[in-house]
Amino acid sequence: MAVIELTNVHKTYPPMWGPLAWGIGVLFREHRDTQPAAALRGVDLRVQRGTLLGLLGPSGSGKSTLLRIVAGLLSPSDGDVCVLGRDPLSQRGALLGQIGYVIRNGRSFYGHLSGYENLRFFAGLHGIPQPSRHHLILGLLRDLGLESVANQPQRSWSAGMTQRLAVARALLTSPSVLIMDEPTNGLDPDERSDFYGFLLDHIEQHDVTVLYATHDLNEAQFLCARIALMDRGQVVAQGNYFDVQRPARAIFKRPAPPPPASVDPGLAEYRKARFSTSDW
Amino acid sequence: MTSSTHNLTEPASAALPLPQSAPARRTTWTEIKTFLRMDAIEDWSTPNRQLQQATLMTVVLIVLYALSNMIAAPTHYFAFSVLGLACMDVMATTLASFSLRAHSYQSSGRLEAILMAHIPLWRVLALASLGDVLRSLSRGLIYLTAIALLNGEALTNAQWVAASSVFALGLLVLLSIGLLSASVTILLRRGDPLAWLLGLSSLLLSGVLYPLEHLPEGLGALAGLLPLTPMLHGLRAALLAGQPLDALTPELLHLSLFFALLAPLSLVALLRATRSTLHHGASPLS
Repeated sequence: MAVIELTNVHKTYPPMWGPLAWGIGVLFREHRDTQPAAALRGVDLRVQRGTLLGLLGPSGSGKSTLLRIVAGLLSPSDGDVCVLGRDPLSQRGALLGQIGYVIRNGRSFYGHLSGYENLRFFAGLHGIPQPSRHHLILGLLRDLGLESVANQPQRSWSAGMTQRLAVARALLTSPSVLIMDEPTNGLDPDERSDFYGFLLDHIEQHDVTVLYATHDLNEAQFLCARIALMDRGQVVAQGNYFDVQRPARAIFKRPAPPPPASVDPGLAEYRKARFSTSDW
Repeated sequence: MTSSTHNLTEPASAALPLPQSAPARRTTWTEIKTFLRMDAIEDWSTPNRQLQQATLMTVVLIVLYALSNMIAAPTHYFAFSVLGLACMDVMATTLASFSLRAHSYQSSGRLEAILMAHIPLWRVLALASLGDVLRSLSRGLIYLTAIALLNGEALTNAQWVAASSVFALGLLVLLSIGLLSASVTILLRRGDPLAWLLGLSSLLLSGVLYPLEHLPEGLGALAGLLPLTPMLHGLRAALLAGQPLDALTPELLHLSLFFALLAPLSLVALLRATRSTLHHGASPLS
């Protein structure tokens, strides 16, 4: 059963009123579009329960816009969006805590707060009850390998640690749908490998549905049993890696790199077993 | 395989049963506590900034006290100017804090992260600036204590109820301006230049450090267009001149007029900003 369904979804960013755009240009020397900008053009997508769908595409292909629409942060201009059978915009209340969103921007944390305090802040906003909050946060920090730095200010953390903290934040409410916007940005190869293991385990154990945006063909090949290739606001191909390999190469204009050498062979086996092609 | 090959004939799934998760226990009070706790940790982790703030306040108080004794200033000039500074502090905080926090939350992606907790935009903007406003009010109390300690005779006939009424109404006006400024920031995705213009003109024209009678005629008329002017005039009249509430009707009416204009305007701007976050996204990356 599809947990995420998008039917003919369009998104066009409305333009700024001409005189206002001119004023901003004069005052701040910033360009603002006075023409509508189409970000998504008729996207159809279905993601089944407990699976990981990779959204592969170059920068500007509409991946982040699509993720924001699924997360209920952005309204589509046209088309239908269903998450767990509900409209993520008009029925946000019903979906509260069911969607976890890993934001790409590492500055979305409070730098002077420790990792633990940051998670506590967001847990408080989500209304996670006090008795379970502490253990939940410690468990997430431990699972993501952040226990040793948990009490250090987040501003002293590396980009990779911050990215893992973003994953922990998204998992605070134990969501059944996880939306990840290039979550391995800034992670070194070893951290990536650990992260993949964590994510695949999490999907396995919690039956989570994941929409995973990446511009890394290599990552998509390794992690995602099913890939939707996006270009200029459209899903131009969909299937397993071999289905999207050729158009992806054309879009990225470079040959697909070999699988990462640092990937734990055991993990690769695990992935192969978990997402065998017979699933599809 | 292209998108057109998907099985779109399959009926759209009905609402799926939602998995059981920990029950959410969020109230407005827990949201306030969560933001204030975060602010308190920020204060605690930046002792130098707090020390700088305290030093600056002390220096300003000493300079004003010395000035009021050295020059042929109006009666109770120390109390007069410190009251002006306290109100200017509140105004500067509402103007700067709302706009700056809105801009920083939007540009950092923090706004998106908080909106995921299904908190309305207006509440995020208000809660993000709550700590700053409370700090500014605390500084106002410190300024008032300094007046009582160093220039106590100025407050002998103070009408506290009248002063509180003027201050409460003035604060509502300033908060409306703050929310308006934050909404404009969200809409433009830039700091609000009008807020800075208003802050600067209030400092120069509202009689913060000198009586309005000392302003040239044209500028004096302009002062009436600034909300800080009736607020300061009313507060000084109540606290320093001992005027009762009914004598402050012109100032209260003036402030009410500002509130009647600015409150709906800030609500409309907030609604536009909320709509804008849905159409444009809550992040500048959109």
